[in-house]
Amino acid sequence: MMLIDPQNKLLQTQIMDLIMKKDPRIVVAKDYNYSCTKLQYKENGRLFLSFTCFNFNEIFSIAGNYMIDKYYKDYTKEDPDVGFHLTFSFNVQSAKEEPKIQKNATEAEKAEIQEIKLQIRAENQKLFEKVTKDFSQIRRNFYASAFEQAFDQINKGQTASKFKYQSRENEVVYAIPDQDALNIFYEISFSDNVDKTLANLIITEIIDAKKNVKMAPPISRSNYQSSILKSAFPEVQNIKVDPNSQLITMTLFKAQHFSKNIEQLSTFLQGFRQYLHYHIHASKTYLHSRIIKRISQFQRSLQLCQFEPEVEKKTEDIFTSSGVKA
Amino acid sequence: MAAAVQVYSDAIRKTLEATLCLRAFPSEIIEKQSKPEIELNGYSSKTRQLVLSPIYLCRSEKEKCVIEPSINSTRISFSIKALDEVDRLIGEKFAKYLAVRADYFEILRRKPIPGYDISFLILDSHLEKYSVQGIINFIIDYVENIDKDLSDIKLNINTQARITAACFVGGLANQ
Amino acid sequence: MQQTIDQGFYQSKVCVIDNGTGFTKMGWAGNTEPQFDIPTVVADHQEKQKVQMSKNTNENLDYYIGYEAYDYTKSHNIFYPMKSGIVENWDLMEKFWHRSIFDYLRAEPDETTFILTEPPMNPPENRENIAEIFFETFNAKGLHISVQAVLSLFSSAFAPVNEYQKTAGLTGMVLDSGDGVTHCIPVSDGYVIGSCIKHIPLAGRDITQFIQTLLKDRGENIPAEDIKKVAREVKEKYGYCISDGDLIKEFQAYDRGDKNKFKTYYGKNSVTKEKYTIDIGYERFLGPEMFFHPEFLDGKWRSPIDEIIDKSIQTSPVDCRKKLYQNIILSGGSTLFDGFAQRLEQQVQLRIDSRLQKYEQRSGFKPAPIKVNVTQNPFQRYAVWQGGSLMALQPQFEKVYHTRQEYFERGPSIARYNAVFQPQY
Repeated sequence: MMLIDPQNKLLQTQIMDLIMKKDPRIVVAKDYNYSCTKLQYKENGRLFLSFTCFNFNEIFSIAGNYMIDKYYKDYTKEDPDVGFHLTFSFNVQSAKEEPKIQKNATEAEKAEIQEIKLQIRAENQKLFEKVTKDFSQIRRNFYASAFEQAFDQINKGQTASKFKYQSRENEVVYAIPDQDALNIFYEISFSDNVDKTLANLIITEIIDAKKNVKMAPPISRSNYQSSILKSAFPEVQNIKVDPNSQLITMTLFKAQHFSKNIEQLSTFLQGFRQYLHYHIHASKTYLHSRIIKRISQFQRSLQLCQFEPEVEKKTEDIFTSSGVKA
Repeated sequence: MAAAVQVYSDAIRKTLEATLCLRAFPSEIIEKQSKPEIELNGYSSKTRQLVLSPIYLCRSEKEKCVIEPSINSTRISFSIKALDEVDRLIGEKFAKYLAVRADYFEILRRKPIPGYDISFLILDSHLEKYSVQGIINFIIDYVENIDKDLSDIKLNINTQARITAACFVGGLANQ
Repeated sequence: MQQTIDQGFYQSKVCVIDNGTGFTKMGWAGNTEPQFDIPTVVADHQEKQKVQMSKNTNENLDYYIGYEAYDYTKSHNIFYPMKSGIVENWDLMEKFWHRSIFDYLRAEPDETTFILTEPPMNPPENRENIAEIFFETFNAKGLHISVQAVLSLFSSAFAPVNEYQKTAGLTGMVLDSGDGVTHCIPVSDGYVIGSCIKHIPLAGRDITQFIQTLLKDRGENIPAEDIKKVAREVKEKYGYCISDGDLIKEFQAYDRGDKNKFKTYYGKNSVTKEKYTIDIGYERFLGPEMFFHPEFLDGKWRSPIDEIIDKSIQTSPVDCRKKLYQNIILSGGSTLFDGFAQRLEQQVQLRIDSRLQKYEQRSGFKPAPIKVNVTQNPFQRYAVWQGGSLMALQPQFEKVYHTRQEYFERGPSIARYNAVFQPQY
């Protein structure tokens, strides 16, 4: 309820639908971050998932292989579809077939087959659920793997490399690893005035929230003159500062933050901008409905002070009534 | 320290009671026309006798109202308190949504006069349709409650933002 | 240094949302079927008027839509934001849209254009409200509101069943019959001829009721609690329209005991789980026949459906009448009976032929015959949505939708008028 589900609900329902109905069909769906996914079920019982986003190569070069290794090992990597960058396929027929109960079987046999049938059905269900989960999370996995890789490397004591990627048209994310920490710089830009105000409000609250949350990572506003950022990415000094955008930095420490559950953490990190956006619009929905309610209340109270419509109304001639002021 | 809202609204009520004595009055400049004098020529010398001097009533620097009486029309303008960006945003949205629905509010002036957020323009014809006390009560109701409502909205939006923030930071802290 | 996004590739970010009274069909344009078909229902929190909110969760987000809503009936109240095709509760509708856009479609509204649908004769204020919500609250990139009947035609234009439809474009008569009401909507070049829309207070629900009475009267052994369900299933499974309109002949066929006429319905008592069978006879064709003999149902309503369609077309402007006759399109569940299209075609044709004949007798001229065409849309249930999806792919669509910039320049009144354009094949 508070979060946007990392699983794409659209893909989730469609994958289940395609697997169950075995209906050759193509579904194309867009997702956040200008990404686009395509599902295709072919007659030969294979389900294809294709993915692309506007900065595919940039991110793929950071942690693409890591992602494939971590999440999509069990699937066949195909040649990318036209217009897409990455295609996986899953053989639906790899699921076990349910045995049929013979008509002339005895009661005991029937019961046995029934048991096996239920068992296989449960196994298949598990398999399909896994496919659905893996496929519907493709966007999340793709963006999060950059962070996950860095965390993993730091956890193992290897030196992780710094990376940056463009998350939207005018937003860039920078990540600079340390020996036991990761510094992340988010560029956040909202062009609409209302959005900007609300985003500011939420960001201010996020910066304040560390007082109330145990082990909260340090988060603060920053700028391109930050020495950490400047030393890692010297090119930032030349960026023209856009009045709509601001820079937020946070530092995550190995001991407190990413020693165990890096998946949840990465989900949060990759979805920061969407999370903000989602809640800004929730606030706007609230604002709109409250104001409209208030206005219609006004309207009613104004109508209440109307005179009853008179049947016959005498109009007085203004010139004959007591002298005109001059 | 801002004066209590009661004092402020009482002052507005008294002033309105005195100024909402409107009557039909044909224009002295253009023949066969009857236009709200306050809008037509404003404070020019030609209509000095018809347009009275405006009355300013202030509760605080930000919350003020100006009542501009004339012979056949009275214009009342309010500015909405705006201490920070969120206040300003809510005020702007409120004024905007109200202006869109101006058709249903006959006494609303579609464009507020410069420096203010909401203007009402009451004509003599409105007083034939609405009772004077009704209109005054409507405006007083507006003055007394709008602040409370808007700050209520603001409070809730702030709370929402705090919850949003706490949830995010909590997530980062693996809670 | 920052790369700009290739606009061409992402321009086609268009979502089609078809909010119906019962179900909402939505999805990304470009697909043939909507990706979501969920009930238009919101489960909202019960204590709504609370001023202060609790600390940990945002109560304004504590609501669910669609099938999910039914899982929360204990803690939440179920609301239906729409009634007879028109939005009743804007607050809930706004919430419904918020969830649909962010959770279901996962669209960033800033970059997405939305196509919404409306019933014919929707008040223009509703369109303004939609525009206000989509541009002010969601910052949509663009918005287009289209009439459902027109979108049905759009969909048929791309999947023509006969020669006439290939050239008909957006001119046609849409007969939309759902559960509650039946409309005849004449559309000329994409514009609904509002003054000629006719309503018939007879639709699916009435037919079910009628079949139910027939079954009861004959004393079939049906448990009382199941009779509604049985009647509905009989209607959906076995209902058909007789081909030549000769009721007596059809009765005789049953009386002779033709094998394929009588059907048997196998039912199961929903409470006791006992199995039972019932024979189905006349009600198979008498139910759907109601459209052509409404006096069976209600003595007050005597105009059969073909007469209503004929009247509606005859009141339309003279230059489009012929085209309307040639392209009558069926949509909605109650038009799915076997043989309904042929029967309707025949009945309307009879009316025209007799009219032309009378003209010939009086004037001595023989007018050119008019051929009536009644077609069923192959995508019936999703026809409206599909029409929207096809419309979004048309090159002209770029030019007609309302942009955010326009809204901020001229206000919500821009949504009062929504341009239509002819489909290009």
